[in-house]
Amino acid sequence: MDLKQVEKEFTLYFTESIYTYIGFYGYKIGDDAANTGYIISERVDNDGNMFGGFGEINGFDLYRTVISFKQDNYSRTYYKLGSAMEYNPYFGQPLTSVSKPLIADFSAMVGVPYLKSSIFFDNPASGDLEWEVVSPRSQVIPELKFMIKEVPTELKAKYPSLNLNEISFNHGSAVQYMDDFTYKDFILYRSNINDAVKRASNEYYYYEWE
Amino acid sequence: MKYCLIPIITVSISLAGCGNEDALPEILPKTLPKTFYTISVDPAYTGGMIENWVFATDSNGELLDGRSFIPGDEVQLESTTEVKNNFNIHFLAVDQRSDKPYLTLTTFNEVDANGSWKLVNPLPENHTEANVTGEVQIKILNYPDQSDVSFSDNIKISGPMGNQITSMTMSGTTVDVAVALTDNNSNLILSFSKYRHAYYTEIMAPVSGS
Repeated sequence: MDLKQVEKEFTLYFTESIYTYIGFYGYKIGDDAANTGYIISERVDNDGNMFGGFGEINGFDLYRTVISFKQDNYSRTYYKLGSAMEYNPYFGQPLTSVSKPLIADFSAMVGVPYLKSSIFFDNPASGDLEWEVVSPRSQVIPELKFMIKEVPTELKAKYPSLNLNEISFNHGSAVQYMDDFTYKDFILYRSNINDAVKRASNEYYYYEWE
Repeated sequence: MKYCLIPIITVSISLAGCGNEDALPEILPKTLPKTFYTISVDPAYTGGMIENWVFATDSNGELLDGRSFIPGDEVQLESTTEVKNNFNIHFLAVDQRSDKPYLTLTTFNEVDANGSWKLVNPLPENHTEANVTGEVQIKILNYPDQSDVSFSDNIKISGPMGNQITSMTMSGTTVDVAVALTDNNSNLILSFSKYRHAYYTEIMAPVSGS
């Protein structure tokens, strides 16, 4: 079998990563990009020092690139659907610390700009609540306590797990799109999900932390 | 005679005063609630199994309005005070899990007033199912075994269904692979990494057999 050398090489360095994943996929007309596609290059690295050649192959109508790496308490992913990757992605410093986990007095630090964040809370005592707060950076951090002071009385009486003094931080994520898609565009999209004029791009950075 | 009229007049004035107090709420201008946001619920919307709520808080977290709704409803969120942009909207879906209610609350920060939100089920993504039509046996010679990755994790043979390898054995430097064939793929991509570089080759028009 004639194995072909990579046509193009991208060298990525993740000096502090404990887990690195690179996926590069091709699609033909009629393929569903939600599926895995043709795997052109898909590798996992667990030593965290350096990732070498990446690879590219011509002949597909659509390409998808996924680069993901993980550290102790957070992961970062670069995602692109479209043409092949043309440059080495830059990964900034993500949000890494949550200093006040209770929703009533939530506070966290962030190191990168992002379009929107999703902060997930739950009620550990009751185990029957998941609360996702979608927000631009300016209001979630550190002013989340101004988001809600009280839930409607009827709901509070019916569902004790909505007690704001018990709900606390579970995990969070943030998305930074690579085009001019704004948070306002995101709200317009979510409020009219099937007919929105402007949709999120297929190229973005994604951060998740615990 | 003049002096006898004074108490009668005083009593009349007092009675007239009592009547005016009773009518006070109707005489003074009343602040009517105004709609600041509209939620249109599609008749086919499937939210929480038990109940669904929407409520809003202002930028200080104070509750503005909250209503339960069912599919087909149009909910007008109202307030007697002027609601400016950047309010928070909260959707609560109550489901049944393990014989008790389970709450999923989603909050969107910084929503503009005087808008609307359509609650609909997202349209399904187009999805082309691939059907397995056969299997091909592939023998890979001179595979470069590497200590940092197992051959089964490293070698991928992919089509529109992703990695289509169904079984794989290695003897020395020879790897025997069984690969599922589908009714909508013409070629397969064999890929693996060798000393941190990606290698691949296309397998043209595979047919069942070896």
